Amino acid sequence: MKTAVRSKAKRIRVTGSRSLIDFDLAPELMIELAPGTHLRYFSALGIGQRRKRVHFRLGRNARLEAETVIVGRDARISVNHLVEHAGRQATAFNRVLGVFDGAASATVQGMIFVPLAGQGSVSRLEQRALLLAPNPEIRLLPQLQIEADDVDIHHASAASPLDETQLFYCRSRGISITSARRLLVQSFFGAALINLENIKLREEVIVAFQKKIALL
Amino acid sequence: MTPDRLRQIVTSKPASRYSFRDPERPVLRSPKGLSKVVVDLISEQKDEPAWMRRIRHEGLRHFLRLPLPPFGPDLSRLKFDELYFYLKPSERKAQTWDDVPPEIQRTFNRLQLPKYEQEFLAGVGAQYDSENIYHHVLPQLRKQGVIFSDVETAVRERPDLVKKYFGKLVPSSDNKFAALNTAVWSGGSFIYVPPHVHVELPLQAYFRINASRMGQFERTLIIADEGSFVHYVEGCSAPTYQASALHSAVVEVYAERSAHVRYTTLQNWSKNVYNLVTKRARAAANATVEWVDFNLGSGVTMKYPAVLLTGRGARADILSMAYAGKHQHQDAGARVLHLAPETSSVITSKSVSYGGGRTTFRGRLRVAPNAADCRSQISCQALILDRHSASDTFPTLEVDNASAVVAHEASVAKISDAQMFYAGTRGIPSKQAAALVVNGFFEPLIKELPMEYAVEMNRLIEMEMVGAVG
Repeated sequence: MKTAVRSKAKRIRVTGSRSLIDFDLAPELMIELAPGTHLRYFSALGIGQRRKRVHFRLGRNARLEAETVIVGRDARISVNHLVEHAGRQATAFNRVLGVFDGAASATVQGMIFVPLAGQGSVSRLEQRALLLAPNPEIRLLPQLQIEADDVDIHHASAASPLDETQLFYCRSRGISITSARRLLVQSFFGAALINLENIKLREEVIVAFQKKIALL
Repeated sequence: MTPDRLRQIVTSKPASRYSFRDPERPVLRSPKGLSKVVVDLISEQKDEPAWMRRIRHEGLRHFLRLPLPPFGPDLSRLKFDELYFYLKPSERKAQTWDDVPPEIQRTFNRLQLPKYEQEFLAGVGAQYDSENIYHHVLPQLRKQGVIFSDVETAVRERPDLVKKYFGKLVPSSDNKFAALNTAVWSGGSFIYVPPHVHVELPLQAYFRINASRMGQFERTLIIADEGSFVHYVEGCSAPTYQASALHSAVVEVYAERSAHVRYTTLQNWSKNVYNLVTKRARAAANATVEWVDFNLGSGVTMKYPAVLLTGRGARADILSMAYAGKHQHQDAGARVLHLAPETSSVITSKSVSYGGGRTTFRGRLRVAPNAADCRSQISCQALILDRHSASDTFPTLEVDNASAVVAHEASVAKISDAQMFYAGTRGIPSKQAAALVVNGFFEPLIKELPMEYAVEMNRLIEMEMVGAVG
């Protein structure tokens, strides 16, 4: 049942160790990691592009660290990732974090596919949605299709509003409710943004997000 | 349970208790295949009122127009024209085991049903091929107004309840197999529990397919009125044939305000059986519905117990266990719809696949826009025991209210090398160690069963594990 990008997808072959920043590369990407490659992938949606389909194909001993951050406000966002462990002992960590405000709606789909050739694979998929608007329309579809036995695969998805306990803690420290909410939203993204090594780029992303959501 | 009884269960061979077959000597068998003639034959045999026959005809109409499901296992080898949709094993239904025809009585004695009834059940229904051949409930429960009968009896004696609830949660247009069941349903259980009555001991039904190329289509309807409690257990088995058989049941459960219903299924069909079931419950305000679902047998299972949480404070708990060996595909899961505020749900799924088997978890969680302050947690764990087997997880989370807290996690792995090494250092052979680990993996679910069934389930898993590792 794996979901593949269509034939018109932009193809990128990655060798060695590199970072790939994707603010608007193409709506559909096929990224092939050669054996032994290490790729750090960072993507942001909602500030420009709103639709993204990416197929990561990992060769033997390849390593993928992917972070996707989404700011959804009054728009429909669609993300579809397929991580295919085509070679032995590949490792993948794929995280998608989204903040949704206004009349936001989003579909976040992620598939981990491990065929028999992917023995020894380790893979993680994490999808988190922070809900600020009263009536968002959020669809999270984390999927696994595993055909090898010697694997360590895990995925997790969650959707929730701001944590009331954390808000209370901030307020008890004299922080205003507005600042507390801003702090928590920023820290929600912080785990992903900290992996963006280019500090200038990191600041540009934050500024762009702030224009979308007043809480940032 | 006495020590002797426990010893008897532990040392017996559970597989041989299920795989035997009786000679086929039905009183009546419908022609092969499905048609209006067969539907009318079934309706005539049951002497049904016109309104129920109209419902059957509508079911047939939907069955003929609806396609097979576009997802899940391959059903292309299921040939409806090769199946018998109705087989009547005896002329009458018995109130005591002594009145059951001897061959059928022997069958249920081998399955230990009369013994269980004496020891710990409040009521028992036994179905053999298409008909309920035995039904009994404790007199004190009958005095309290508890009804435990087959659905045919309920159609005659309580048409008011049947008309109110039958087909309202699972209409015949829902899917192809719900339509099929609506057209040819026979047997099953009807339970009504009056307000504030607690049925402390379980009610049990056992479904046995004996004939070859048989279709069994029981219909179960459970109505737990305000503040009541009932635990219903169903078991099933069949002998192994070359030709396929079909089991397509529909279960509708209504838990009214503050009621509590627990529905446990121990499915151990033989591997030539297609097990395609629609189960749905509705929980009113502060009601609780629990589905405890064990899938050990059948060649193909498609079953997704669902709960609609329609009242404030309602709760759903779904435990699902799937075990897929050679030539088996267990496509099971759960669905919960949060349609009211302050509702909660917990879904726990554990599966093991080995010997080329495939397990699939297919789930859907929805939080409606008006369902404020809901909480839901889904957890799926899968073990794959060899390189020939596979496991899939396809959950969908739909959140339309910002105050909901919804979380899902899933993992897939093999038996850990550390666990096997530890067992080896204690002198435990690898096959036995693997069986121990798998039993431990399922233990949180198995402990939800009555003791006798828990011991039986552990034995069945051990039997299935022979040859699974090494």
